[in-house]
Parts: sequence; C-alpha cells; structure tokens
Amino acid sequence: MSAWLVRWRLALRIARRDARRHPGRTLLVVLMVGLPVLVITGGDTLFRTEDVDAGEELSVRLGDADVRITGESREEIAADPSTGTVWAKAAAADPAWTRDEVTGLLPDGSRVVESRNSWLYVGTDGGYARVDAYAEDTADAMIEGRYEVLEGRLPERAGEVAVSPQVAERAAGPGEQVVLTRDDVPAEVVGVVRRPFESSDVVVLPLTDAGLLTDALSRFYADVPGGLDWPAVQALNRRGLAVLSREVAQDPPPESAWLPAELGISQVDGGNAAETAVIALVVASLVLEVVLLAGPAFAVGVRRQRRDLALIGATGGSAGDLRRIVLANGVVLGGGAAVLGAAAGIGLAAAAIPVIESRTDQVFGPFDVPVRDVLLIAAVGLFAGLAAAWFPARQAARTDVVDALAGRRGQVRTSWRSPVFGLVTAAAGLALVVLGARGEELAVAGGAVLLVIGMVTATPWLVGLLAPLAGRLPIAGRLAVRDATRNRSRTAPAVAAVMATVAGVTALAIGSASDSAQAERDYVPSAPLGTARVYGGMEVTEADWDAVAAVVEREAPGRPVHRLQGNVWTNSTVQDEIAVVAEGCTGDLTTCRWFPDTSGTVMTSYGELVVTDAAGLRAIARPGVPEEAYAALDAGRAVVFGSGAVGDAGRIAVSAVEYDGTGEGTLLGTAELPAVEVPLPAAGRQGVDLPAFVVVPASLAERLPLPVATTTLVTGGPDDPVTEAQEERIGEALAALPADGSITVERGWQDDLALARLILVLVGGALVLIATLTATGLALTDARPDFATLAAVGAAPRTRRSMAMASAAVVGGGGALLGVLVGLAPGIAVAYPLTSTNYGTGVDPVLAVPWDVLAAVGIAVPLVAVAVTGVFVRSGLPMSRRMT
Amino acid sequence: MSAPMLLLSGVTREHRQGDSVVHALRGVDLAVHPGELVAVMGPSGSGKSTLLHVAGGLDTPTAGEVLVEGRDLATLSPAQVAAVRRRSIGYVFQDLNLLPSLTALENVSLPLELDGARGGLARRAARDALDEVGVGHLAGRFPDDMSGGQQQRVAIARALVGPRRLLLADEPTGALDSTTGEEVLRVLRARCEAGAAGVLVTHEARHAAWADRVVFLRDGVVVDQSGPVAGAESLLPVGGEA
Repeated sequence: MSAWLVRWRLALRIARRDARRHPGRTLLVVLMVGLPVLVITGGDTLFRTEDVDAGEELSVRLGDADVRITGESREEIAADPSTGTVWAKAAAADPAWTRDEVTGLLPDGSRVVESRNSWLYVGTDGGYARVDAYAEDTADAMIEGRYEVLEGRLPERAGEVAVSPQVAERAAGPGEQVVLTRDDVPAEVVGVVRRPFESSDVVVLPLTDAGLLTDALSRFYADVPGGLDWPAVQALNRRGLAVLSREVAQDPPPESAWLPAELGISQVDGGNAAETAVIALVVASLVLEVVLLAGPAFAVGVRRQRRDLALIGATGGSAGDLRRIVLANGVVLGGGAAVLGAAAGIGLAAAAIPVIESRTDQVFGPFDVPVRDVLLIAAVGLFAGLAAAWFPARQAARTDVVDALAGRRGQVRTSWRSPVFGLVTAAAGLALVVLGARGEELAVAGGAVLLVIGMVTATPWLVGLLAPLAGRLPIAGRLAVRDATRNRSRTAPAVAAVMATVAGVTALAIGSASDSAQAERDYVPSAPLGTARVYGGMEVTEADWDAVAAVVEREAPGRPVHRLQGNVWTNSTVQDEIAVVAEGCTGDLTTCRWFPDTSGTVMTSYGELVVTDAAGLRAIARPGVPEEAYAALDAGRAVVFGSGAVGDAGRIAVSAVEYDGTGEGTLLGTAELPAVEVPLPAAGRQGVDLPAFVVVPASLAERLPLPVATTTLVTGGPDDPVTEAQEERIGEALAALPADGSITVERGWQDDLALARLILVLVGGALVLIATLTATGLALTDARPDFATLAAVGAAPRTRRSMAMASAAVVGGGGALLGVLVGLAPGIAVAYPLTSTNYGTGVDPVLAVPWDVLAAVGIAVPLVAVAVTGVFVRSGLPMSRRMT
Repeated sequence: MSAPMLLLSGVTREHRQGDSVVHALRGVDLAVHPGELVAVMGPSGSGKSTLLHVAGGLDTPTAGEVLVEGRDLATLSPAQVAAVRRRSIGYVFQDLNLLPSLTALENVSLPLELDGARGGLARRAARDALDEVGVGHLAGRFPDDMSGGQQQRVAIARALVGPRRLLLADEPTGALDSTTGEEVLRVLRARCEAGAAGVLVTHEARHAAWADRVVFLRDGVVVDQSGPVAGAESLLPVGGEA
C-alpha cells in the first residue's frame, strides 16, 4: 500500500472518530449538505418517474400485440418507428383503410383486430360530458396491457361499457345504467378501467357499438409470426401506413433513416444554451451557499482540534498531513451527508408517489431512479463538503505548533492577496453588470456571480474593518465585534453566506418588481373590469348556449346576459369567413379587403365582425367608443370603426369567403348593410383596441352572406362585477355541460410575480436566519473561557445573552447590509433589458425597487435573528472550569 | 564517547513583541550523547521549553546550530524537519499527549503511519513499544479510559517507537502523583540506558536526580551544569520505596 494511501487512511480514521465524538457539529454539516441533496434527488426521481418514456409506454400502446398500424394515407408517409407518430404525409387516406386490406399486406399467418377511437357524449347529472371513447375487440388477447381493470371487467357485448374512475364518479359506476350520445342510448357500466399512465376521462365499448362514435379513427393491432422488422415497416410506410412494431421500437433506427431532411427539424434535443447556463448558475449558487453555511462548522472544528493538530505536528506530521486531516473531515461528513441525502431523497419520492396519485390527477409511470443523476448530485454534495473544509484545512496547515501546544492563540495573520483578488473580481463583475444592462441578461447574471464571488473573497478583510468600532461599544458589543474580527475563519463565511443570499434576493426582487411594473404599465384589459365572458368549444349548438346562459343567470343573478355572434371556426381545413370590402373597390378581395386606416396596431377582441345589440356593445367596449355607435345599433344600423368602408349612401359591403386550406379564397357572396362610420378610439401603448372592426345589430344578422352563431356570452361589468365565488361556481357548472365552456372575468392587472417574491423573501430569510444563528451558536461555544473570566471579575449574568445578540447583529445585520448594496447593481441592471419595449435598446424601461422586500431581508430578518437569539440564549455566565 | 545525538552550539532565540525583544535563549551550548539523560532546570520563563522546542525542530533559532544525529536542522526544509521528528525525535509533554480519537496502539503507531509505513508493520512496532513500557494490555483503549500515568507511558512508547533515539520530555511528571511520576522516570531512565539520548525539562530536583547531568538555565543562559550524579536509586530509601 503506498505511503499516500496510508496517510489518507489515517486521516479518514481520525475524521470518522471525530465525527462520532462531536455529534452536534456532525449533524450541522450533514444537514447543510444533505438537505439540498435530498430535495434535489427526490425532485429528480419524481420527475423521472412521472416522465414515461417510449420504452415504458410500449406495452401500453401495443398491449400483447406485436404491431400497431394506422392507415394515414394512400401515399408514402414519414413516421417515427419508436412511437408510430406521423411526421409527414401528403393527404389523408381516402378511402379509409380496412382490416382486410391491412391483413393482406402482413406476412402469412398474421392475425389483425381493429380498434376505433374518437369521443362521445356521456350523460351526467348536469347534462352531458364529452369523453374519449375506444371501441375494442375485447375478446382478443391482444388487448392485454392496454387497459388497467380497476373494478369489474371490460365490456363483452353490445350495450355494455367500462368507464374511467372520473366518469364513474360523474356519470355511473359498475352495475348502473348510463346514457351515451345526445340520443341517450342506454348502456350498462360493467367495469372501471384506466389507460396506464393516463388520467383522462375514458369510455370503452365493444367493437359492435363502434357506430356510436363520431368520426372514429381506426387502429389495427396485429399478431405477426416472427415480428415485423425495419424493412417491413418501411414497406408499409411507403403504402401510407404508420407502424409501431415492438421489434423495431426496442432498437429503433437513427432519425436520418426515416425523417425527411427537407423538413429541417430534428427530434434530437440540441439543448438550450441559456437554459443550461441558468441551471449551472443555480447549482453553483447552491454549492456556494452550502460551502459558506457549513464552512464555519469546519473552522470551529479546526480551532478545537488545534492542540491535536499540534501534537501531530510534534510527532512528525507535516503541513500537508495537517491539511489532509481536516480535508478528511470534509470527505467523511460531506460524503456521508451526500449518501444519506440521496438515499433519503429516493425513499421520500417513493413514499410520496402514492400520496400524490391519490390526491391529484397526476399519474406516475414505473418507479424510475435516475442513477446517473443521483451519482452526480451526490458527487456535488461531496464536493461541497470538501470545499467547505478547504479553507479551514489551509488554516490547519499553517498551525503554529509551539503556540498551539502552549495554548496561545498565536498571531492572527491576514493575507493581502485575498482582499485584493476579491475587490478586483468584484470590480470586474460590476463592470460586466453595467455593460449587460444594455441588453444582455446573461451578462448581468455572469457579472453578478463575479461580483458576489469577489465580495465573498473580500469578506474576511471587510469584517476586519469593523475592528476600530469595538473600542467605542459597550462591553457586550465590544466582545462581539472583537470576537468577529479575531475569528474571521468562523465569522467571515457566515457573513458571506448572508451577504450572498441577500444580494441574490435583492437582485431578483428588483428584476421581478420592475417586470411586474412594466406589465402593469402595459396591461390592456380585454373587457371592462368585472365583466365575465363565457366561451364555448367547437360545434356548440344554440340549445347548448341556452343551457350555458341558464347556468350563468342562475349563478350570477341580477345581470343581463348578452350574446355575441360571429364566424364560427370548425375543426376542418375548409373555413368560411366574412370580410369587409373597402368603399368603392371593385377588384378581388385580396386588394379590396378593408381594415381600419391607422399607422399603428389595431387589436380586436371578437374578430373583424361581431353581431350584438347596443347593450352588448356597451358591455364589451372600452372607453373611447362614441355614443353615436350605440345610437346607430339601436336604429338598426351597423357600426364601422374607421373610415374607408362606409360609402356616401351610408352602406357597407360585406363578403363571404371560403378558404380551402391552400391559401386560396373563393367568394361566396356579398351583401350590403346600412352602416354608420365612427372614429377610431385613441390609441393606447399597444395600439388601438376595438371589440371588432364592424358591429352589426341582431336585426341585420340574417342579411349577412354567411350564417353566424353565438360565440360568447357576456355579463357583469364595473358597476356589478362577477365575483370570484360566482366565477368558480359557473366554471364548475360549465364542466358538466356539452358546450365545453369556460369563463374568464376581467379583474384588471394581477401581479403574477407577487407570490414568487414572497417565496423569495421567505427562503432568503430562512437562509439568513440559519447562517446568523449558526455563527452565533459557534461564537458562544468558542467564548466559554471568556465568559468564565467575565464571571470571575463580576460581570452581570445577562452579559452572555447581550453578547450573543450583538454577535447576531454583527453577522446578520452586517451581512444583510452588504448584501443589499451588492445586489442593487445587478438588480437595476437586469431591469433594463427585462423591461425595455424593444428588448435592450433602452426604450421605455421600467425600474421599480421593492423597498418592502429589501427592508424585509435587509432589516427585519436580521432583527428577527437578534430577537430569536435573545429568546433562546440563556443568560448566566458559566463557572470557571479547566478547559481540555 | 560516541558523537552526540543532539548538539546545540551557540543557540540564541529572540521573540519580538511590538517594540521589545525577548531573549528566550542566549548562546546556549548543549550536547547530549546516546545513553545519556540530561535534565534542564530553571525558574519559570528561563527558556526551558524554548530549548526543547528548538532541539526538536519545532522552533527555529535566531542564531546558532542545532544538529540532530549530525544533521543541521537549519539546512532542512520544513517537510524534512518533520521527517526528522517522525524518525529520530520523540516528544513527551506534561499532559494531553494523546489524540483522544485514537486508541493507545494507534497513538503509538502514529509517527510510523505518518511516515507511510504499512498498517501491519506499524502496529507490530507499536505493540512492541507498548510492551516495553509495560502497558501492552492497554493497546485497544482510548485515552479517556486510561489514568494519567498510563497515558504518559503510552506517550513515552510513542516517543520511542521505531528507530527514534532522541527523547525530549517537557515536565512529563507535572500532572502525575509522585509514585506514578517515579515510575515514568524509571521508564525514561531505562530507555536511555538502552541507548537512547534524553533531555528532561523539570523544575523538581528529585526528578532531576534521575539524570546523568543537570543544566541550569536562567534568563535564557546556561548558568551552571552539574556533573554526573549518583544513580537515581541512591535517592530512594532502603527497600526501594519512596
């Protein structure tokens, strides 16, 4: 065994024994290092388990089948062989593929079953709910694995269904009757099922009832003797069939083998450089914080070990041996904490999964421990422990053996290199921050890191600057300041931890407050305050809207409910649209289509044309719509915002256009309407804000060249706002209706970042408290001999408590003040690119300094630390005793 | 007579404290040969401990030479001086000699392990040293589980384990009762008679009586040296009891 190894074994042995002899210090370091490892490992494990990859999903997608086939086209397609997802196809299959056709293309002896998938309405207590529906050949064994039967069984004959747990709760459970489709076709629920790794609402029917589904998509599951290899899959792709083959999916070909190059896209995640940089920044900040918080514990350990280290020196240990012994503490404690934290994180994640699944809709995949990630996280934890022990180890190597053996402190030597390096680095960081204010957030972030690192390095020197203050303070304060300046190896890391934390909170708080201030300045309400708008899904009938209106009137009574009508968009490639024609223009619609004449931006909330009455317009319009508009609607005339569309005869022309998905439009017809032109409202920061270009009264709706339908219901307003409770009740009631409706209420600008800032203050405040109380506790322990002397000379018992509170004020208050000063520059700098309208050119930036947040972390938290110290530290000086 | 194990020639040690200079040692000459036990006596502040620190390479003289087994410590690097302490010099202090987190065996094998000796080899040598001082049965005990006298014996074993032949003891009986102290000195004496060289700092004449020579220090200067004394046993009452 080499000499180097022997020396390390000795050092590790001493470190292990010391860890057991000083359980308090051991626990402190293990918590500092282990807790972040636990949180990150647990979070990563939950994330990886929740993220179901293609391999895990294969058995769900295929069940017991070898192959799944979908008839996408009658021409060649490009499809991902590991998932069966289609990436390129010319046109949809017409006619649709049949089971016999698919069977004919597979090897002899293959067996094929069909599955059909779409949606249908299921009757519930409140009306109908739209759910995903699967019609399956449940008698065939190939279905095994595609459904998880939680209760009962899969349907076997016509008139039977199995439902998901959510549908069972809302509609009917096992043994009960349920109605399907709007025709109320009765069916018996025979089981409760779930598609693995999914939480959606599902109904499963036998294949014989597939006719109940609307526009169902067919899938074919095949049992192929010998499986289907990649050449066979490619052959089917050339015929227009997308294939998921178990054999190929388990060992898929490279992307270049199936993804057409002309698409210019790739599934390979090239990574996001900015995202990686942010993650690296967060990890580095976390490691720095751990090092600064755990460092004092190692520093105090070196102080206590001083005589032992001197003995080792006297016995023949070199400076390197002494350094190695302290570093071994970092290895033992950091490594132990990392292992414990990682194991606990994985265990907690395993315990949390069933709890999360039972209380939320979240569904997890197979338990997945990300071994590589865990090893990396544990390695970072070990590194943090080593880094925390590094500076104390260097100090140990400089132990003056003679002084230590005699029990003397020895001269406190300070190096000039560290503060110079620190200040130079901080200055460079500040320069980078200032330069970054011109539009580079990453430069500001990088400069902030340098600034903090520089100040951390210079902190021991900065703490030393407090020394002259000591003489002017009363005894408790004088002791605290002298203790802080003479024990900088213990004090400086704690002050630096507070400083770094508060600087980060300050910078982030200023950036987010400025961002919020800009959002508030630039916010454009989409409706008058307190106005509720209810939107519907696709293919909603007027009868459905009647049911929605009834819900709104019931839950938010006493307010008129206005209907807005307009173009209805469908889920197909062919779309019909109403366009306004410019006055006197006789060319094709490409040149004659009219838009309001303004140099700036014009925004509409309800499209180009909306049908409603004067009361409806008043409910949705912002200030600036002239009264003549409402009078025109009452008089049965259309209102046009802006000039150029209404002719001298007081009429506008509107045309119906059909778009077929290729960009070409076909004119279907034109109509003329009586109309009034009103001036555009004044433009705001974002441009002109209109409800629509043209508002047509309901009395003219039948004259439009295309039929219109209800698109939105509107109720409430500034004088009678819809409350949050009413909004919630309407939302719940809408969920039970077939209209697939949703409600939104204009409540003005909401500060989305307020919660984040609050969390920032709480987390930052907690870290400041931990650092301050840790340093204070260690200072009290170190000061025991001094307290004994104080007792001997007659000091008051409260001196101990006073000194502790003063220590807390030095560390917490000094560090926080420094942190606010350090954080101001990056905070102000990042506010400029974040809030500049034109992204960094400096146009219209907003700077908002959240003084309440700064006061909280800079003043209130240190005061809390002082108060907590005063409450929990006992007064009373110890009796003099022999110190070993 | 063989070459001295330890030779101090004109050794001076000054400490600067602000504007004042403290002369801990002034022109001290001392030679200690193998088989010889030399006692150093003097009042508090006379430089006894400083002499021991300089002799063991823990402190650097302001002037003069320090030779250990013929090697001038001033010509060695700090790492080489540490190696000399591992291989040639053994220290015993008044108390708190042992590392509390190591067993007696491990404390004794410490200099060997610091020197890179394999575990088995180091432990065998350590066990031999413990047996030699009569505390082999304490090998597995931690210092907290031993009496003061037992700890000092273990410390002496560590000071002499392996090839070390120069023993420096700074008031090794200061924290012990008189009987235990006598036992410790008996071990020291026996080791010197077996070929080691020893320097014993003490302020008690009865302990100095165990030495072959006594050097008297005052204000850092050797003011007197006595010749070889009668054997220590001559100081004991008839029957060998104190």
